[in-house]
Amino acid sequence: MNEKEPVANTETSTSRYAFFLGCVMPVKMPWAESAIMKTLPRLGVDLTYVTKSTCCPRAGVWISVDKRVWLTLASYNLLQAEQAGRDLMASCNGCYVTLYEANKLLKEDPEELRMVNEYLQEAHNHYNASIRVRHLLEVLYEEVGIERIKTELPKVPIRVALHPGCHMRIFEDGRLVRYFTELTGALVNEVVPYELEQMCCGLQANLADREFATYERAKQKFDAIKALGVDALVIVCSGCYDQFERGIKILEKEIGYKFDIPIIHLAELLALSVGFAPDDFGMRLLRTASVEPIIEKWENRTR
Amino acid sequence: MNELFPWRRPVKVPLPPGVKPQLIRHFSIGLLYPITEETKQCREQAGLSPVPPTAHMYPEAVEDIRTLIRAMKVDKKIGLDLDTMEYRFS
Repeated sequence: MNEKEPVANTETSTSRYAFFLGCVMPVKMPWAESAIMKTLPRLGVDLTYVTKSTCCPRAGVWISVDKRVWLTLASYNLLQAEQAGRDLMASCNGCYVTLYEANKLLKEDPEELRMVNEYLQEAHNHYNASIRVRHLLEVLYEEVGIERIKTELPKVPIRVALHPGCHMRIFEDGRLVRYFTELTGALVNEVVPYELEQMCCGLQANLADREFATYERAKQKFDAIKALGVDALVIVCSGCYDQFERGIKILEKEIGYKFDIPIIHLAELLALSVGFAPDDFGMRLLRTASVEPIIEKWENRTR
Repeated sequence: MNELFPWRRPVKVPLPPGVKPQLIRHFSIGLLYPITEETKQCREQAGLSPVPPTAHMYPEAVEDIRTLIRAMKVDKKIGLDLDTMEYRFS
């Protein structure tokens, strides 16, 4: 633990969530999972895991093959949170869109819900479509409160670039992207915009054309971000992180290209800011690039 | 049925090559990535349980997923044998 005690939760929690991990975060991003699970309760969010969770599943794949699979397998995850009496929270944009859209459809269409429950009954399960699906950004911005984060938490003295990811633009009013930008802006010295900020990471393209996804998407973003001279690239989407990590490995192996800017999760900034030490949430582990310069700037600030 | 529709044949569902191994992992472990010893160690160092509370920890969830896939007959549709995890179509 840092010399400064983490911010105490002084408010009675009204938010009860089960956190949906997805496929990537628990395996490749333990620093993000740990930061979320440790920090949100400090900020008043009653948080547990969605237990027994499986792949969300990928809506883009399954809707094109068989829509029933998307709805039924998504319902299997949703019902785990429902049985725990909690709303579901996701950080990965892809998982969020899959589960949010499936839940919305099942709430609006009783026939689809009936069909899904016929299949779920085969595995002795049932879904009532009684819960909400919320993004981490919505929970932080609307429930913890952007004003509270802006006024109560210290900034990490770094300059960063953002990668929102395509699925963050799910809502026409663009509120998730605005939440992401404002929340990050509240936690660092400067968010540096760049022309390719909205460009796709290449994850979906990777299923069909690995070279295009690596060289025309991931590398183009990396080039643009390197030119900014920032300390970190901030993300919340595990799917995008997975693609970036894959792209970094391929580019280094094939052409000796190095992307030496660390990719960090928004929750890590939050964890540092509320008073957790980097090693409390495994900040140094399994990184694509060293986070020592960020830690050094943070620790020099607190001395 | 064959007498009425003699021209009907099993139709190959065009799955992209990149998707095929993902589906095998999905239906084998419930998720797209396995847990390795290195992952377990890193998770513990990050203050987490070595095995996450996902289908990795609850193998019955994988059985449930296979039950659902069989109930929808999707395994037949995509030509994947859930017992051997081999595709009927190359």
